[in-house]
Amino acid sequence: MNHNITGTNKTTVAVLRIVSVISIGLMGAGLGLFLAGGQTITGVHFMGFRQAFSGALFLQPVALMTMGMIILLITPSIRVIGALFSFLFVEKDVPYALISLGVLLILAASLFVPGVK
Amino acid sequence: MVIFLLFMTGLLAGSYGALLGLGGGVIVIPILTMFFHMPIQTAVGISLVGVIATSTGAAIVYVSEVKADLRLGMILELGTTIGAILGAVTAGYVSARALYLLYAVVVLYNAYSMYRSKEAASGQRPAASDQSAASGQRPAASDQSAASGQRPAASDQSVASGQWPVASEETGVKNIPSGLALSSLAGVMSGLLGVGGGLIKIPVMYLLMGIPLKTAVATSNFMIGVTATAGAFIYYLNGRINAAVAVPVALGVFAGALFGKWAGTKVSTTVLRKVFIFVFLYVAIQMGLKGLGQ
Repeated sequence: MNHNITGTNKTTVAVLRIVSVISIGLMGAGLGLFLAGGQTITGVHFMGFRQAFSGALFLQPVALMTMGMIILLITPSIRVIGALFSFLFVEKDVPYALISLGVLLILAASLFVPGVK
Repeated sequence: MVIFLLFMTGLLAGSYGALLGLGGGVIVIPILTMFFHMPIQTAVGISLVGVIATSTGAAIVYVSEVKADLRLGMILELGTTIGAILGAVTAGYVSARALYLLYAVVVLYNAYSMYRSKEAASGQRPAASDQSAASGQRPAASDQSAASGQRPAASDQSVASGQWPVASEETGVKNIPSGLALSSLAGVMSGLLGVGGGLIKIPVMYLLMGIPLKTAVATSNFMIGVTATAGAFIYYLNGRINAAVAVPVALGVFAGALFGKWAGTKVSTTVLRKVFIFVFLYVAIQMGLKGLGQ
């Protein structure tokens, strides 16, 4: 049983590259503005997603860095989503599509797990 | 100045990963705790961001070359992601001293693995790749060329033709339940200590599950980012990852990966391994002393 998935694979890689570039771009721009503003990390506190998103729209340096970092954190999930779609629609391999979905659900669950304070 | 030093930390970790074939967690955490005096749980969260940066770059290359066995990767990810969540949650309840001691053990094991692969590298070539796999290291540039001298296994041939091998069918994957259990342990290590877990996953796939080395390496690379993500979300959402610290490190890792790729053709990885063995011994002693409250 062979599975030729070159097309899907190329799409996943292309998406990964685009997302990585966006992430690096946001982090780089944020860091550049941060340094240009003469800020130091001493006074910088943790920033949540909503605050980062709204701040990034106004080009706030820490918000841009946080958004870039969040996108970086999400990037591996894109690989899992790519594999899920590939198994489901290209290869019609339902068991592995379900396994991929399971991994995706575990990743989603990590968003709701209370942890290190 | 602090930002520059954080960037250099990432650069060192990224270069180290590209040159010697391991994640940068073993570099980032000691520097952040020993020189920047950060709490170890904060350093672990930042290290996970660096691990994801390393994995993202590597995954683009490996997945695009269709070397990773994504089926096997997905099966094992069920264990590693759950393990990473457990590890990240456990980190909140384990004392910093215990984490330092655990970390010292991991770094010591890392040094021992490098020593073994160095020994093997001076011996026969096929043994070198076997040993580096047994020690959990990704083959570095020179090892990969050595590995390419081996007769390709069945899955390598299917990979070369642009097709994904099937876990447990064409590749003849063995011991899936044991592999899954041990991979969960790699996940716990990732969530608890901020390392990629390749030290466990590659030997498990190669030695226990019968996966060809190159496929095991590529599959591990695919996996470490996904595993790290599970833990990193927990650290981030609990306010443990400050972007102003993590971003210079992550950008440094990306730059280091590029630098390491370039330097790989100019620097002897054997010499680097020797240097890092001593560095890791020093780090293990320092972390151990911190764990003992000295």
